[in-house]
Amino acid sequence: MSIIVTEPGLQTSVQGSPFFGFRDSAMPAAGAADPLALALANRLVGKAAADEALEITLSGASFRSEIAMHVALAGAPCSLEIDGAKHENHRTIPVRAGQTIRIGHAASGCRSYLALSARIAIPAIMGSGSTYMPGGFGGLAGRALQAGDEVQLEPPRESPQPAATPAAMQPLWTNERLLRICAGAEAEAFPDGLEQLCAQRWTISPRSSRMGLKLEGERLSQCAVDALASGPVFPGTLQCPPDGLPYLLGVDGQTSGGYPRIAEVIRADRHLIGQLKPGAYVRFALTTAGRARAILREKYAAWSGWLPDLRL
Amino acid sequence: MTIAGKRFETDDHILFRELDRQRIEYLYRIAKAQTVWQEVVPGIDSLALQYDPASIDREEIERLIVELLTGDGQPEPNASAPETVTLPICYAAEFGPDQAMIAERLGMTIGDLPEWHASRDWHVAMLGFLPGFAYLACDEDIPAIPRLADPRARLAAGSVGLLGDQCGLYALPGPGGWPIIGRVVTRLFDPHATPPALLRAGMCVRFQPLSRQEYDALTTGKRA
Repeated sequence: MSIIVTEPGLQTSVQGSPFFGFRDSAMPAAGAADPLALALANRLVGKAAADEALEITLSGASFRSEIAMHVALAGAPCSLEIDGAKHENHRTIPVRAGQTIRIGHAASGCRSYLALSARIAIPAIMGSGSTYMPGGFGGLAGRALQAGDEVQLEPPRESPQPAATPAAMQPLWTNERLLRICAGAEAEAFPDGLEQLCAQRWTISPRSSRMGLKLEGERLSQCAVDALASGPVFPGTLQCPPDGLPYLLGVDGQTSGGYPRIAEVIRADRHLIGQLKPGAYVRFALTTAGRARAILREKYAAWSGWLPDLRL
Repeated sequence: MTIAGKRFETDDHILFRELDRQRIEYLYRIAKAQTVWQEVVPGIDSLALQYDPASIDREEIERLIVELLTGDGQPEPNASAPETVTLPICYAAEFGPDQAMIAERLGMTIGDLPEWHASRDWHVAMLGFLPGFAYLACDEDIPAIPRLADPRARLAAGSVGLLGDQCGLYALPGPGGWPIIGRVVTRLFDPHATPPALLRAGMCVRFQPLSRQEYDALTTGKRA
């Protein structure tokens, strides 16, 4: 019993919760690039916020289901067709055995999540079924899905209560994002770096992936520190290499780096990094660590009614 | 380098900087036992602690940091001898494509390189870069060896790089810019193991030279 990949698109992979607690083994977080969108899709098929789903990147994808189940699509808005019949995002949709699920191109945002009421039967490693593609492990064969792949499913025991994400809970979509930041460990070594960083609109370079996003814009003034001993970095760390153009680490980002850390995207906003596509714009706004913690608690409180188990 | 180091903080992690090696190893060991941290990550001269600020109060974090830094109720640093891991290594020419350049920088012959490398005392400073990649350090004065001008697109798992007093172990196949001296047999990263990496900061490493025949005997029928 499986769902068969008929068109894999640019990059489709099984993603759920990150790998937690192994950065001292140099194991990156991985997991869904946008855990909020994942949670919204999972909610509609009766699953936990961080259960595994199919993360689809930009260009769409299509699948054929061998079993009857329910599906839901959230994240970057895309057209959704079941055997040619159009359906909305943010709805629980029944699928019969043999039907084709076709997801179109994302006009704004970067990643969409197709949640399935059937459990994706993938053995967990390091506590998660997520795929870490750069290392070739996790998920299905450690790689992006290819045409003909069969993702094994366990048929759902019961059907989810059909639902729709309340309109007020549906995120707004734009290709121009504001991310809030705290000063990074080496921020003070940039002559006017944080001001320069926050004063302009940056463009996401095509040299971007789940590992990190290269930003294009007016180069930052040279940092006073040029050679740092290699030290810890996290998803959301903004490093500044000698070319003066910041590099924003994503969920697959490496665990250490030697470039000055100019800023850190706050935890509450980090899920938005996964929705920045090449050509999209990003701005940064400085906040304090204390305020950023309060924003995270406020965000959880706002979501607690619909997504009580959301973790960012 | 100081004992206390400098403290830096964001919304969900604390970074202690300018730490010496003994202090990092001590703080790493104690912090790993404090179950509150989502990640405890040593750097070459730093250590980061990441937590979920929505599930724990900042006051509690402060209390844990004080406990960590003062060592209240904790074992003394260096209470137990560091764990030593022996890594069988083969210095056959095909596994060490940069031996000629390395030997020249160190002022010795290629023939002397294996014994020289295997008789140094190495310790694990940190893991980073890619899963399982270990940065080893040696306290001796060793001439610096530059990185390759053209990084290799794909190195075999187990490749051992040398930059002088730093030695890097490539745990997974992948790109790499360190000059390569040899290859270890032992699997350094296994995503099915807990923890996935064989090595961790603070461990001592001894290299045990293998002939090509011994290497083949150990690796026959064993495929990563």
